[in-house]
Amino acid sequence: MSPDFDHNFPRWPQHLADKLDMECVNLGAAGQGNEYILSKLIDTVLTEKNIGLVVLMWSEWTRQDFQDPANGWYSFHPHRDNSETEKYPIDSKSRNSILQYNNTYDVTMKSLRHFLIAQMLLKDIPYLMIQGTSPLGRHCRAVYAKNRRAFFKLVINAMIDSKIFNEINPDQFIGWPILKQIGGYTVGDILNKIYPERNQLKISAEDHHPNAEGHKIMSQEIYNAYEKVYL
Amino acid sequence: MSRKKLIAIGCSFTRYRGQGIDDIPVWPTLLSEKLDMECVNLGRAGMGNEYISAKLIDTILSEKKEDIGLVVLMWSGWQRMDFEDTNDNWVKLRPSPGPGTRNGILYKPEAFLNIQNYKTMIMLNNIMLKCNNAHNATMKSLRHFLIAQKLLEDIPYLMVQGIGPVYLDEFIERKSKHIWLQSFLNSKIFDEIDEKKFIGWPILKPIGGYTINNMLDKIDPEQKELRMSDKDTHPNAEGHKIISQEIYNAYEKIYT
Repeated sequence: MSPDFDHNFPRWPQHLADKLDMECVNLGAAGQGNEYILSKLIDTVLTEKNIGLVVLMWSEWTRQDFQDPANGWYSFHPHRDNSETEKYPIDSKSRNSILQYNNTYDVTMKSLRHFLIAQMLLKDIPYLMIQGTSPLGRHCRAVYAKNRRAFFKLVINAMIDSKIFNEINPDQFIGWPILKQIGGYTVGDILNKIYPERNQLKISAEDHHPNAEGHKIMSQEIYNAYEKVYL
Repeated sequence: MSRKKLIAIGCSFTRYRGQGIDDIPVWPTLLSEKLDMECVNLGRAGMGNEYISAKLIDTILSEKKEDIGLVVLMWSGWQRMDFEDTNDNWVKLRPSPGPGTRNGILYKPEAFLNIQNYKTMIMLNNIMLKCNNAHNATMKSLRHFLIAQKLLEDIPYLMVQGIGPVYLDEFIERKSKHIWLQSFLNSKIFDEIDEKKFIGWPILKPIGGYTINNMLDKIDPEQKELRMSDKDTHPNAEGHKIISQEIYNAYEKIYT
């Protein structure tokens, strides 16, 4: 489930489906967070019968997803100043207030719960998970700009001390435990490792989403993990 | 051999005011006595369903299955938003249809952290209420119910809705209420809920369900006998006896 922007090249789900000779059902939606992903997973588990593989590419942990019957899903990013694009724009002071609730510890724990619930829902279905974008990079810049060390200490302690941490199956969560500081990685890290400047793998200087080549690399990484676990 | 545990999770209907020692015997205590189980009351005043789900996950991961005699989840208001901080500190956010009085209920805008300006407070309250609208909160709660059911597949459990699920004042137009009910009924999750283990399912009165509040109001429509006071509509000691009996009856039907 990856973001699906209107650029004319195949995304990793399509590449992967081709490699695996499976029909591709891409439920990614730009801007959404992990609540959306979990919700779509529940829909899928309840409706689909012939599943070859589910891949969950988790999103930024700070995003808050909401839905209404008229407009479907939308996402609130309290860690970004999106006042021009957000459905309900708020000023920076209000944004900071929301970040007191949607704080680093909270979003870390919520995401860990999402991972565990997904794993439980998928216990009888082939699946892989991976963290796509940096989970808290922008959140860190918004909240802990001057004290990154304290920020990572908080996140890492929250993760490692959580009862959920040791329950996650590392074979099926590519890059677990996600954070570089404790030996994990994200899709962003994979791409950065290949091209530290990432210019060759980005859509453009303004749009840092993976380009066609980036998506090929992502699909290969997921395919490699699939091979290890399921072939 | 030590007694099995009754694990109760909910809001202030489960642990009144969240004091160390409850003022009155609450339903988890009364039920555990009936069942001869050790009472583990994880209720916390003001909390919503995110808290209840989080505590359920903690419980599943920390308690041995064979030690659990029964888990009872008394679900809270669906539009409550729960946020967690270190050391098990939870902060609540309850955007409400305020400010003002509607149907005799006084609604105040949420007092957001670090916001002093009243207009900003109202603006944020209204935005958060639009985001966490009745439909959103309903879908999210249905997910909580289904996930809890899956987590508790191998453990004896019961669920019940404690307080009223959403702010019905939002539905000034009948059409909106209709849309909301449709989204509840049409959800893929609706038919997946095990109604034998969800007391009062499908919760909402118009479609034949009920909450603990509805149940108490049926016996005491004036809210004079089973509530703490005119201003505090939490169940009193007698109310908790009735609640524990209702849950015990459901337990008996399924598990004995």
